[in-house]
Formats: sequence, C-alpha cells, structure tokens
Amino acid sequence: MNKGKQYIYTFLLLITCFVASPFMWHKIWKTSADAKKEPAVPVSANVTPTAPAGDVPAATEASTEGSAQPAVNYTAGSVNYFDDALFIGDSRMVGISEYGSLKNADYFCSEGLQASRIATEAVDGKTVDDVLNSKTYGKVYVMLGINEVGNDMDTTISKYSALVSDIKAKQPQAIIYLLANLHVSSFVEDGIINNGNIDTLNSRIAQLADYSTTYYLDVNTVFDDGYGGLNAEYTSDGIHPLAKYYGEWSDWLCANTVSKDGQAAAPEQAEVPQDNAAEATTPFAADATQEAAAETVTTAAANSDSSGSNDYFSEY
Amino acid sequence: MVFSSLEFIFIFLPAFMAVYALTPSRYKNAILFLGSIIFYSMGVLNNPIYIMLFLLTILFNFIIGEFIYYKRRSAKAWLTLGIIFNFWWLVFFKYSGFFLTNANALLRTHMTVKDIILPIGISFYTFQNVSYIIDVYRRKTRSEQSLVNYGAYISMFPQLIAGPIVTYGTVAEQLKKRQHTPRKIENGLKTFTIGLGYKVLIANQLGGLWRDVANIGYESISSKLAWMGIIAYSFQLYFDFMGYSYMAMGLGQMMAFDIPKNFDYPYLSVTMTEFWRRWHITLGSWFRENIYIPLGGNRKGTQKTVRNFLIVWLFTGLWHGASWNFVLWGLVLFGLIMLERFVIGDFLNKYRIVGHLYMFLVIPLTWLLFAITDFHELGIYFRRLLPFLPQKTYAVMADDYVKYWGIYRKFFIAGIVFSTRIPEMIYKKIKGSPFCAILLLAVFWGCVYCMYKGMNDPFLYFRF
Repeated sequence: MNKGKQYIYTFLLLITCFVASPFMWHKIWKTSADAKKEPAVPVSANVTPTAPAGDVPAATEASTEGSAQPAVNYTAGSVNYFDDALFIGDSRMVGISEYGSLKNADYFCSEGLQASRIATEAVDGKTVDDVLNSKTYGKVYVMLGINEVGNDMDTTISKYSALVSDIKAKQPQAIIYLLANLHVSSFVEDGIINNGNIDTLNSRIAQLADYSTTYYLDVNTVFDDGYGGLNAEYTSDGIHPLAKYYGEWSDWLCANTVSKDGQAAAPEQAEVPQDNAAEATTPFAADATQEAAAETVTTAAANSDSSGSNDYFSEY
Repeated sequence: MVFSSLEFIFIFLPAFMAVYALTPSRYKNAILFLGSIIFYSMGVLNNPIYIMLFLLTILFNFIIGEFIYYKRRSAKAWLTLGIIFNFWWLVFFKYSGFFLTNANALLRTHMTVKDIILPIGISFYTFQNVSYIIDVYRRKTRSEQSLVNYGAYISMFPQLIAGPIVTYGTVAEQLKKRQHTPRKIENGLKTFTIGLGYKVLIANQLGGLWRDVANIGYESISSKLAWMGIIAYSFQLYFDFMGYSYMAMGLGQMMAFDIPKNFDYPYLSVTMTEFWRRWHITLGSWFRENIYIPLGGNRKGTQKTVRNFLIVWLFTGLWHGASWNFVLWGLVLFGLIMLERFVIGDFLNKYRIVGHLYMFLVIPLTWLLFAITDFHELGIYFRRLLPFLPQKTYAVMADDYVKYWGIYRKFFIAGIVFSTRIPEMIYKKIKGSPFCAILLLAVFWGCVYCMYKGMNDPFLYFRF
C-alpha cells in the first residue's frame, strides 16, 4: 500500500484519462472533420435575398412580401434618434456600445450571444425579456448569428424569428432593424465560419423583414474588401473591426434610419452618399494600411489555430 | 503537433509511451528516434520534404562528428564544412526573405521569392548539431558511434520543437544507458502537468488580453490598458516558454532523460545581465560556449569584450526572428548589459529594491520591441505607454482598463505569484502527498477542459 501511494498521481491520471479518452477522441475526430469542410463560396456583397418557397420557415410571423428587397427611403437621423433605441447583439455589438458614438441607447449584448440561446441568457443580471419589459423603445436593433453560423440554419432562423416576434409583442410601437452579420476577413475563413455561410444566414434574416415595421440593414458594403470579405485593413483578428471604425459604423446607422410613418416612394440606395464621404475624409484611411501590417506574434499565432468547433467561437 | 493539444495528450503520447515501455532496453533509442520522426512529420504535413531535410542533417552531422574525431589532421576542415552546411539551411529558410526585403529596399529592386515556410524546430536542431560537432572538435566529448543514438538525441520529441537546446555531453551517457523507473514516470508526469498548467491556465489566458488589445487597435487603448497589455504579454511569453520547457523536462524524465532546466525565476532578477542567466538558459550557454568564449570572452581587454558582447547580442536578437525589430531588441539588450557592466550594475545588485523597480520597467519595455514587428505600430504603442508624449488617439473608451482588469485580474495575480519561488517551496513540501496528486489532477483536467473548448494558442516560440 505504501508503495502504491508513491505512484498515486500516475494511477489517478491513467484512470481518469482512460475513462475520458473516448470523448477526447470523438472531439479530435470531429474537429478535424470540421476543419476539412470546404469553405462556402462567398456571395457578392449586395445580394438581394430571394425566397424559394420551400426555404421559408413556417414559424415566422414577420412574413415577407415578395422576393425582392423593396426600395426604402432611409433618411439621415441625428444621434438623438437613438435616445429610445435598444441594441441587441453579440461581440460586434459590444464594440458598438463601447467604441461607437451612440452611447445614449440601451444595449443588451455580450460576447458569444446567440439567437438560439438568447431567451435564457442574462447580461448584467437581466434577460432580454426583462429589458424588453422595462421601458418603451422607439426602435430595436438586432444583430445576431455569427456565433451560430455553423449550426443548423432552420433552427437558428426559427429562434431568431421567435425573438423578433417577442420584440413585436412587447414593443409593438417600435421599428425593428435586423442587421446583417458583418463579414469576416478571408484569412480567418474556415469550414464553418466563412462568408458564404454568413451570406446565407444574412439572406434568411433578410426574409424576416416586412418593411412596414421590420427592416433589414446591411453594413457590409462599408467594410467589405471588394471580394465579399471584411477588409483586412480594418481589423486585427479578421472578425472584429478595430475600435476606431465603430464610429463609422455608428455614423452609417445614423444615416440609415426610418421615421415611424416614413415609407418608400422614390427608390433610393440603401447607403446614403455621405457614407462614402465619411470614409474618404476619415483621418485614418492612410493609417489603416499600417494597421494591416501590424502582426503581433500572438495574432498570427491565433489565426493559425483553427479548431473549427462551434464552441470555439463563443467569444464573439 | 503541440504538447498542449488533445491530439498529443490523448493519442500520440499514450501510444508512444506504450510502445516505448514495452520495447526492450536496447531498442528504446530506436523507438524514440522513430516516434520523434513521426511527431515531427505531424508538424510538417504540408511540406514532407522537410522530414528528409531533417534526417539528412542528422546523418550529415553524425558523419562529420565521426570524421572530426577520427581524422585529427583535417578536423578543422570537417568542422568548417559542418558549420557551413548547418547554418546554410538555417539562413536559407529563416533569413532569405529578410535579406531580399532589405536588398530590394537598398537596390530599389523587386526581387521576390516564393513564401518560404520555416521547417519547424530548425533554429533549435541547427544549434544542437553545431554544438555537437564543435564539442567533438574541442575534444569535450568523443563522437557518437551509433547513428540511431545520434538520431534519437537530435530528434527526441520533448525538446525538438522548442528546446531546451540540449548539448550532447548532457545526455551522452544517458543515451547509452539509463534506468527507467516508475518513480521517474510519476515525477515526469507531475512535471509535465505543471508545465501544461503554466501554458494553458496562465499563458494562454493572459495572451487573450494581448489579443484583445490588438483587436481594439493600439491607437484606441488607454495608457493604463497599454501597460496592462504589455505586462500581460510579458507574462504570456514567460509562462508559455517556461511551460513548454517544463513539459519537455517531464517528458524526458518519463524516458529517463535528464533534460536541463531552461528557466530559473528570471523575473526575480535585478539586472538584465542576471536575467539572461535565468531566461532560456540553454540559449545563453550556447552563445557563451560557441561564440563568446571562442572570440576571447572578456580576456582580451575591454574593447574586445564589448565587441564580443555586441556580436552575441546581435545574433541573439536575429535568432529570435528575421526582422529589424529583433535586431533592435538585441541591440537594446546589449546596451543595457553594457550599462550595467560599466556603470550601474553594482548599484543595482547592492540595492535590490531599485534593481527590481528597474527590471519592472525594463522587462515589459524590451518585450515590446520583441512583440511588435512593425515599427509604426511599435511607435504608436510606445507613445501610448508614455501618455505625456505627443500623439493622436482614436475612440479610446474611458475606463477600458477597468473592464479588462476585471476579466484578467486573477490571471495577473497567478502570474505574479508563480513568478516567485513561493509555489515551488510549497510544492517541495507537499510533493509526495495525495493532496498534491489531487491538486495536479485538477490542474490537468482544467487544462484539458480549456483545450477541449478550443481556448488554445500555438506556442509563441514556434516560428523557430
């Protein structure tokens, strides 16, 4: 017995590893299978969502009217527009809350937030229902999806549209903006997180917009690199824009607002020209190239590690 | 393949150890050699030719070693040939891109070379091979007579990818004969677990803060967050590399090899001079034995001494990376060490509190040069650390450091505590106890949990 005690760590380790190995092997196998998945080809940035009848989930209450995105007369609002706004989203939304210029709005966002888990997720001790019940909002912005882009899309969309219904029920007066998920840079794409999948998800989300109370906005045109991905100069990890670009994002949101009774008559582009003006005069357009060149050792190292599992991305 | 991965811990290691344990003693080295080659190939799957290169260098140096030993008259020629052969590959793979970029800048040309992927471990195995043939030439050791033994020595997977740089003399006897005992396996597993804990539970976590800072962008962080970031990086680098060295030691122990310690509480140093006797010890030894001393060390007068230090530090910087920030880093270290040698060293050694404060500033600042390759970005970050310097910032979030301190506080505390001798003193007392076993088991499974969830980080020193 004395002799056995000397090797207790070896014994404990071997026994626990023996028991756990099937789970570990399964995980290893699954991870390498996911990594081998072919990244989907990205659809071009300005995709107009079409709705083949069979794909639209029956559970959506926000029914689509026709298959093409109707032209909407977005007007430029001021920051005050967001005094009664609620933003719901994941880590990119966290970025907007921390580094954007719309600090007057309310935010329900956290890294890793998913539509499929939002009903039970708490942020600062409150659930999304608590927040929706707490006050009257004039507009609610939703950006979710990147953290579940590898999951079954029908399930994701049905949970997403359940959230939209929930918002409509609790905030019937509010305009709802469904925001497209931002693309990722091509250097981080893999079998699960890639712009093809993101585009597919975004187009399914777009179908939930009815353009009378629910609208779909796509910011990717502002940050894209021309090949359907997030411009590498605007990001370090290929997933989140650098903090200084959340100001631009906020400006773009200001420029694409709908007033309560405003509806389309004259067709107009979704992006107002002043976006391009904002981009051209941005003081850091030149610096952006330097940002791209900045490769810290750890960033490069992090990019080369792609475990590909869904859980890996719960930090976004 | 990284040690801190599920593949290594649950597939390669158990399979290898099972075969190794069942193999009779006289074939164990062969199995070690074979297993290490398999381990190496997992890391170069995209470039299988690198396996051939690796085997070629082993064979070549083995032959050179024998020639140097037996052919005394032409030993120097064989040594020269060996050194050129070894360094040629290192220079080609690691530095040709660097040379070309600089040549283009100087000559206004646009020469390009296809992106060369560095064969993993080349910086380490090159230095090992060279130190072997030099030691044979100097008659410090006789040549290894068995190709299998030599192959096992160079390739042994515990130290193949990230050191320590084990000299042949250290393991020559053990290659011929070593005693495998269950006690060594027990201690080896414990040491491995400790190293794994350093890497996964401290280094990888604090690396998250450094990554967060990069994602925000250096122009958008507050000065306090900038300091937090570079201190996090300093801890990450230390625990990453030290963790890996401990894992190497533990794995070696399991095979009855005594792999030398590579770190001796460097962050307790009071001077940079002392620091480099405690950090990456085997690299410092290599430069001392094979460059500094042959050039005369400090025995040929002050001027030559300074020159020798300069050469050593330039090469130390370059060894760490093929870009100018590493050269600058090496030069800054040279400057500090000379400053200590001739001016402030005695004072710092005498008044250790001052020494610690000095190092508290100097360590993160020098790691900054190491961490950021682009000089423009380096300038931005440096100015962020010194907010009284004129600079432009964009969209800095007020109290950002509060958010990140909240997230990373416990890892900073762990980093500080484990940089001191306190944990080791406690460990020595509880080492044999069941409590210690349970504790280490918790550490092990905590690490596995992190790896399982994908919170993993390839080893920082891997570009070598």
